[in-house]
Amino acid sequence: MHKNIMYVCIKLYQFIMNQHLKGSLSTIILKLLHDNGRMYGYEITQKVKELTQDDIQITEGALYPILHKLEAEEVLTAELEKVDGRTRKYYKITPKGNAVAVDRIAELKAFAENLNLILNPKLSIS
Amino acid sequence: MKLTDSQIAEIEKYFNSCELTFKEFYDEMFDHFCSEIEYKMNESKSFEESFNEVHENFNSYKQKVRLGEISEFYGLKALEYQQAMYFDRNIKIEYFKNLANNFLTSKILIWLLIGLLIFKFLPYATINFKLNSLGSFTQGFSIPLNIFLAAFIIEKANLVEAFKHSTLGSLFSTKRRVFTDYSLKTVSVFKIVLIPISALIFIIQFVTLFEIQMDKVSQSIVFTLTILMLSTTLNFFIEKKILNFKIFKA
Repeated sequence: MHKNIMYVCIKLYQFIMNQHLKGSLSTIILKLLHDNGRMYGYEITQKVKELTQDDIQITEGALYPILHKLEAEEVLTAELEKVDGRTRKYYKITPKGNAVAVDRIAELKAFAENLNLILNPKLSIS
Repeated sequence: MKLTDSQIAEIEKYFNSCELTFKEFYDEMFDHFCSEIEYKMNESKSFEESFNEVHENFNSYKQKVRLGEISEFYGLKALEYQQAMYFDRNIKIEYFKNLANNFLTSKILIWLLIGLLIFKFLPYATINFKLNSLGSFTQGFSIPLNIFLAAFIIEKANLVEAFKHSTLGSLFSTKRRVFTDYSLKTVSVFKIVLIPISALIFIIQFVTLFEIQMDKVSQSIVFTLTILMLSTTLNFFIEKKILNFKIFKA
């Protein structure tokens, strides 16, 4: 019984963490594009890997649906370019998407700071 | 480490076996695939080893679909279909936005004028097809046929494709097909064309079924609304909002 409850708790925790990552993934992508100008899909996965020191690995199955969704929503725009004989698709934030990006980044930042406050409460000297 | 020609050919072979529909999607994924293999080979892995790893990664995706007998897409096709759904939904939203735009802006004055002109000059037609009569049967049969033909002219290749994968199509085919190629464009174009026409058919059928005599006012309203919907559809085609997808032909 006890074991079962533990198992359910662990599964629930994993589920919530996954949802967190899924929810903030589009913001992470927007942040990267905001900072770096234009990037292509593989470059984004590499950049995230590099920045988080292999902690967060974005898979193609998570990345491309988000990129395509943002493109469909006209937050991003794509341009094709020939590189090494292959056609590469670069993504860029549109002027319309810029406001969305700034908003979402600020939102995620505030959320992360609040989480930090809860997880690492500062000892106050009274 | 750069890939050799034979290695690229091997990757192309895999991609062709996926039977993707969209050129842009194909190019993007191909570039990703090659980049990842090159990266892995830089970490002193062999080509085969890196290819298998990346291949396995890509093949793990699934997407539930409802297209005739096809129930699920795997791998690259699944990712492509997801993209297709985003575009499809976007097109529909755009269409209804355009439609609403006619009511919410000063354009409504033009439509009111058209409605009044129709009311004034269109002869009053009494619709009374009798149900079960030969006339209504031909009517009922010919309208969907006309829609299909209209859509066929617009998107011939895709409709053939759609037909092949439908349950109806499977009755006519003798060999078992692998479920793959299906273009998203068909769905969007088909639906967009269908919206105004099916609205009209619905009204006509409703009137016929309950034998309602339409007065001249409601008749002109129906006509005006139909023209409005058709003009929005036409606008869509002229601005090429639907047709800007590049279809991949291998």
